[in-house]
Amino acid sequence: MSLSRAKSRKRQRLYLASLAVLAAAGAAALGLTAFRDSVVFFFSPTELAEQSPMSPDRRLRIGGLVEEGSLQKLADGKTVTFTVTDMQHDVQVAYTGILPDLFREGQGVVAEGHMNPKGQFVASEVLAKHDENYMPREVADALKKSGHWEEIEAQNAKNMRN
Amino acid sequence: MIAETGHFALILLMMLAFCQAILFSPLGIVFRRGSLGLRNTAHLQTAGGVSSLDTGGQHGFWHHFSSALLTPGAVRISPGASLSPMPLWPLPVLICLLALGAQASQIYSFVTSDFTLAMVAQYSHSSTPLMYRIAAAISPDCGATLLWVTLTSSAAILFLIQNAIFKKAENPQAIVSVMGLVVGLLAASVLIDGTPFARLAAPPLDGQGFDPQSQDILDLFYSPALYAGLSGLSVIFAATIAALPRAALHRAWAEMLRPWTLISWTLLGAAMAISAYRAYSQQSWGNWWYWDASENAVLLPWLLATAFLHCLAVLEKTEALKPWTALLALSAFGAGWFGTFLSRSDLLGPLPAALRSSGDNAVLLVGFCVLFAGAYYLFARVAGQLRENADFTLVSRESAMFINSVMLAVAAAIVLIGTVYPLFLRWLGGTIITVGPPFFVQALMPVTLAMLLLMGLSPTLRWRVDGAASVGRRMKLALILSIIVTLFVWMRHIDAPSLPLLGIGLAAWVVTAALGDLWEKLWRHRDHGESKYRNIQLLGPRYLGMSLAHIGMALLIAGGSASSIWEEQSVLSARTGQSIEIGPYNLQYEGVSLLPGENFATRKAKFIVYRNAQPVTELYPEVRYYPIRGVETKESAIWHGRDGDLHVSIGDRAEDSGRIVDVRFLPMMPWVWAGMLLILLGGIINVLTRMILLFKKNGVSAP
Repeated sequence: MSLSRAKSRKRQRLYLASLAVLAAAGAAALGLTAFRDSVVFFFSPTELAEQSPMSPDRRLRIGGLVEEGSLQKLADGKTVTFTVTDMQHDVQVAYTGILPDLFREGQGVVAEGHMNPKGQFVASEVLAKHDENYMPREVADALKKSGHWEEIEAQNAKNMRN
Repeated sequence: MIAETGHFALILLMMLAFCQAILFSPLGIVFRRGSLGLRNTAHLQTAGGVSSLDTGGQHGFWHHFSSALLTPGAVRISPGASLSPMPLWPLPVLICLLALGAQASQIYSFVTSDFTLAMVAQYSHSSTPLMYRIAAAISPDCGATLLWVTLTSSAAILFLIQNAIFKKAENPQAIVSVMGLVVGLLAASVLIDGTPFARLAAPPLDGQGFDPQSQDILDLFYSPALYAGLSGLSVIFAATIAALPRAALHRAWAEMLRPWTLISWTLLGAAMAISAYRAYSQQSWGNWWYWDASENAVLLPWLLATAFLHCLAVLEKTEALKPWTALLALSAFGAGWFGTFLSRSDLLGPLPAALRSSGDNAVLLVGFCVLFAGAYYLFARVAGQLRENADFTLVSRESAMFINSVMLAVAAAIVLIGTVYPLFLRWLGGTIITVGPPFFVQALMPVTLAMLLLMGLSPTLRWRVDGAASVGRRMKLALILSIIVTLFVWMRHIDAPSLPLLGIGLAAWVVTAALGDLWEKLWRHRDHGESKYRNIQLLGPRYLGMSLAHIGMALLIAGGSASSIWEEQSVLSARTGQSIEIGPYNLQYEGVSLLPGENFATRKAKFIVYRNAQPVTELYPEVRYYPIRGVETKESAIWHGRDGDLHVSIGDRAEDSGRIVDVRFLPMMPWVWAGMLLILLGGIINVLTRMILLFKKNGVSAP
């Protein structure tokens, strides 16, 4: 009696363990699919120029510096356009809505959205949730790649001292 | 001078904390015997608790040696040696006083605006209001770590008090030792990674000001709640390390840790709720959770603490799931520590070289590696020997709670991977990817739905053994009701996406199941000749807290799902007097006025909100300009209506001389906030009633 009970208990625990493993594996599989579907790649303006034309269906992130003097407000009152640059290539970005607090010309910016057929980047989100002196990592990397990081950094340091 | 005193106190504290770690450990016993001039320290004997771990005689010496290392309390000095046990109180109390002193001196320098200190100059300004000067002292990295040190050393004192009253801990010596190690490592991190007491050679006339984005009453409580939660987890961690070598994870251990678990779980939840509400009210796009690293750093330990909370309940009831519970206890604190490191290291975004003064948190990382490599090594060694009498069947509350805790751990793993994988890829020099909200939502939603399914089910299951048929009978009503709700919502919004819809349905399932169970317990049970009120009392705080938290979670999921489907938004350039329609509301824009604030200037817009032509309220979204940092912040105005949130923010002046206005209506969003409050309330009720019951002599004891 007790032996069979012990056996059945063992079997029950085996079921439980396999259920847990199954749940974990299922979740992992779902996670991986989600990864494939929803990972957004980051492009610097140079990489974007190399890979154009980009499909308008593809969601992507771009980043760089907002070019000085490029911010324009369109006549409809709510759309703005600005140019994002890594000092080698530029891309024009259009965004409808309120720009984040730390958005400024000459500063780093990351935008998420898609390319339209005209070669303009239509941003659905402009990200600048960070300290005002902080450069988004992607932007810093993009600037390093384009070889203009040192001068930007020197300029930033100068701005900070002022 | 004050700051130097604080700095000195911190250095002294660190050394004392490491001394505490050594003296209360078995090494300390060896050490003390040596220093007392007693020869032959090898004949330490281990107490009975360990002998059960003895698996064979081959490696007897090593086994004895390591178990002496691992089990401080179990080491018994052989008869004849006159070595009194270390007194528990003096060292921790001294350390706590030193920590409080260091913290006080640091806050004092902020309050008096001593700009010769680098940290004060960087984060404060003479015009910063007093409240935010204190916040500036405790919220940036090094200040926050100092706060963490203070709270952890205070938690050690609270543990000693608990231990003095209830005497639940078997070897408090070991717990005190591990706490000493944690405090010492954190203090070392404060001192080396970037001390808040460093002076400037050429102090500026005034500081650079407090981060305007955090200038808010709610934000004041974020750091204290987060780090108090983490300190609570460190006590749990220490108690687990102390109990593991003796395999003493039993009922008394669980009872001792219960208040710690509940309190730190509630505090971490509060920190998350604060950051969610702040993000919601500060960004113009009405989003309340971004899945960014600093948010995930709190979510990770919270998920694991939730899993631990449930397993602890199982362990307390039936002494089952011991290894899994121990693993969760270690991992919860580990996730908290790692998350803190991750959110403040420059892995997520390098600071320009001009700002890179706060170091790279190397000590925090090294401390993490040392502490948790040791902890997991210990766990791997002893986990196999944890005996448990797990006589529960597949259909029982234990197994439901176990599966649910596995799901929570899997959710934590997904969050961790989503946070770390892009860093890893970038570190390899590969492509830069972003793992944003779409990934987390898509990957976590199925896990969350499965958890909701079990969450409705498990409170109604019986312990140890239950029959599938009887479960079906009990849950019939809840099942039917939740299907009706899902169908109803689906019929009204036929094109709604399926996952959020399922979320709403399962939330209905959890709520109906919880309410049904409550009804069953209150009215179907015999009232023992007394009033029904007595039945409520008999349910006990644990049941009430659990039901509230479960219902809260369901509301949160339902509200989040619904607002994501049915959000309405309109961005326009508004002129004074213009009226804007959104959802059931009608807003009239009354223009912007420029007003002075405490340390900012604000452009405050006025909107009169109408519903069915009746004025409901007035909203004042702002754009603030902080001249010290030269930064603008936007403060949205939110009206929590009965069927949704009205979220209004303003931007710049538009080209056609109107003002950009972003208006959103987020249906059922109040459910999210109500859900968060209910979850917190569940935790608070559980803790408070427990305390009241303890001190009330003739009270009803918790069942």
